[in-house]
Amino acid sequence: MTQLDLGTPGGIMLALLPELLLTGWALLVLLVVAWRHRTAEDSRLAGWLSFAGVAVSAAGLAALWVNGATPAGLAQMVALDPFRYGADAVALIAAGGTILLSLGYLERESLLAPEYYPLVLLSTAGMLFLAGAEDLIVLFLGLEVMSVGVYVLAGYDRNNPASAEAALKYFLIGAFASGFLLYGIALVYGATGTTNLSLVGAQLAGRPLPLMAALGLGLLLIGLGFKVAAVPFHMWAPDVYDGSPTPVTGFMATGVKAAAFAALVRVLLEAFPSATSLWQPIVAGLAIASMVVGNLAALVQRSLKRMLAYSSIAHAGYLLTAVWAGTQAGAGAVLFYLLAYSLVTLAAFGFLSVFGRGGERDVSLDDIAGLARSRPWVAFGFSVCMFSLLGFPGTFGFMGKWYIISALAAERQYILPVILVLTSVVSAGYYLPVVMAMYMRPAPDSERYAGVRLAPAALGAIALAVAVVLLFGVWPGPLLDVAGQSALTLTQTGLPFAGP
Amino acid sequence: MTAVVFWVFAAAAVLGATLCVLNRNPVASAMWLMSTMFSLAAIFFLLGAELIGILQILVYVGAIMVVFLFVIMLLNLTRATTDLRGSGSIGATVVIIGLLLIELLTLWRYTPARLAADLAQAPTLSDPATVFAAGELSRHETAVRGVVGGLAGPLFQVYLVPFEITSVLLLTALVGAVVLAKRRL
Repeated sequence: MTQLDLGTPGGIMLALLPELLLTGWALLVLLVVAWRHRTAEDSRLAGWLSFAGVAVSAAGLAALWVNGATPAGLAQMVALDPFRYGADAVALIAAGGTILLSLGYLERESLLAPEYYPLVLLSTAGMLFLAGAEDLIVLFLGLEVMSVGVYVLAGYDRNNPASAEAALKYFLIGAFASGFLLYGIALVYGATGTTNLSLVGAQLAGRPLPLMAALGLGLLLIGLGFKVAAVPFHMWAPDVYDGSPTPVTGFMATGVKAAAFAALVRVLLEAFPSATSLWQPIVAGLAIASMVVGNLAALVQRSLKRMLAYSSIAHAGYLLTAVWAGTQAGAGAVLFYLLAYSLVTLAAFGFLSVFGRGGERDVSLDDIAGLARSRPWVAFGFSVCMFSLLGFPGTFGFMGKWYIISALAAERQYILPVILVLTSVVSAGYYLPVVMAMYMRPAPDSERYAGVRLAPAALGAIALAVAVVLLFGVWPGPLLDVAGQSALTLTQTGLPFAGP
Repeated sequence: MTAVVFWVFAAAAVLGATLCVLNRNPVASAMWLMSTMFSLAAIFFLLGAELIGILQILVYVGAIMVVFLFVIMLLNLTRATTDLRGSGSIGATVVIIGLLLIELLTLWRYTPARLAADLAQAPTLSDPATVFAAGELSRHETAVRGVVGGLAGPLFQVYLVPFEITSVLLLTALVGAVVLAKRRL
């Protein structure tokens, strides 16, 4: 256990090691691409450099985690606890995976401007700030850095009107959501005189929640609800996911969601543990609406990309049920499920970007009919993704759902788990046809899938993700321990100041 | 006296913001936005935050609005060509405005005195009453550390991390704007 004094320059720089390394590396890559931005080779160079940056940042994160860095006294601005490290790890995995998937994709779609990669790095830095924010101001700024980067990435395919539409929609809705978030922050500050999450929690402990803080909490929930695409704040998600370049969609569905959920859990558990009775019904409502609407709407989609967009809304619902628990087990379940969901979703969007070869067209079930005959491994990998998203036993997704349900059962809550299981059954109605189309329908012609080829980098990333999904599906023990311990520290940060 | 000045400028700020949204002519909208910023600067002055007030005028009323006007005039957007406001969106707008109005009216009862009383039983860490007592805190800071020092201390010590993240945010926005808008990359 290393204690870091966040009041000193050295302490704060060590505490922000992953963020600083990532931001510094992004500046470096920006400098490199300023000279080399013409050919496909330059784009590849920027991509691999950026991947190295993610690896370096991950090394910094590992150094903090292994040494068990904790703040001396009260954490200011950034948290130093395993929950942050876990959420950061998911964000970095999402960033690394996105970069690897983009390497082949950008060349194929001739989107050669290499600024793509520094933007991924910068918005990942935003995610790290957001996931580690111990202060509402840092939370807001992290959210904005993350979002601004992703707005641009969504519109990166400048010749595609759908991409421009996605960027504009995401930007307008995102700005709208930021307004709610800021208003909420202002009201919470007004009610408690501080923006530090632990101090807010200490101020609000042991007395009825002031009306102003309650309104602030509601607005914060709305703002973060938009970012995680929970129903009824999900209207933007299908169009934006559909129009963005496919690897960017994967980035949005994993990294953005993971960081926003980490922030949501931290706000609710550190700043508003005394208001559980107020926010639990709201979160439960959001969760039920997301699970039901997401799954039912996914049933009727023709395009696989839109189907996955609605499925990611449904998964936000599953995650919200874990948030509902409001306990350390619930927070651990959120982390665990985020990792399971992120790996699978990245791999699934990686496969989709391969199917949508030669221009960004809608991939439907007909486009993958009979794939197993000529490309057995691709079909196998995509099937594993579908089974894991469904929560089939033997996959990582099943363990994730099981952990959520056990966290809820510990709180003697049985309605949410029942809805979770029922809607998961409904989701079989759109995940399984994908598998059936690949294995049971004949291919229209034998040469159809000659062009379906994974670039080496994407192949490595997807193969690794699928292998991990299968491995942790049968052997989740060590990871469960890590997730459980990560969450243990979360609600204790404010303790030195808790009331008498 | 201070209260009267505050209400005058607060009303002007709200009026300017409303007209900025309602006006169909983009140049006029920009002008109303300018007047809102100006009123906000005046409120900063009332709170004893003279430096922020001056920066508000220099940066927002001056620099940023000039850029706005340049862009509007370069794009030659003299009049909005299409009306995006359908009947459904008007309904939604009315509902949202109504909700916000109800919220504001509820918060009306939140005087600094009541807030202080509310927090009196709590384990007080930083007393909101000192934050809210009409600029007392900033006046004290100004007396001790000077006009600029009162701002620089918090900005570069307590809020150093957010300050630095802001620079990352601006950089990201800059790179993004170039990527999206440059004709040939």
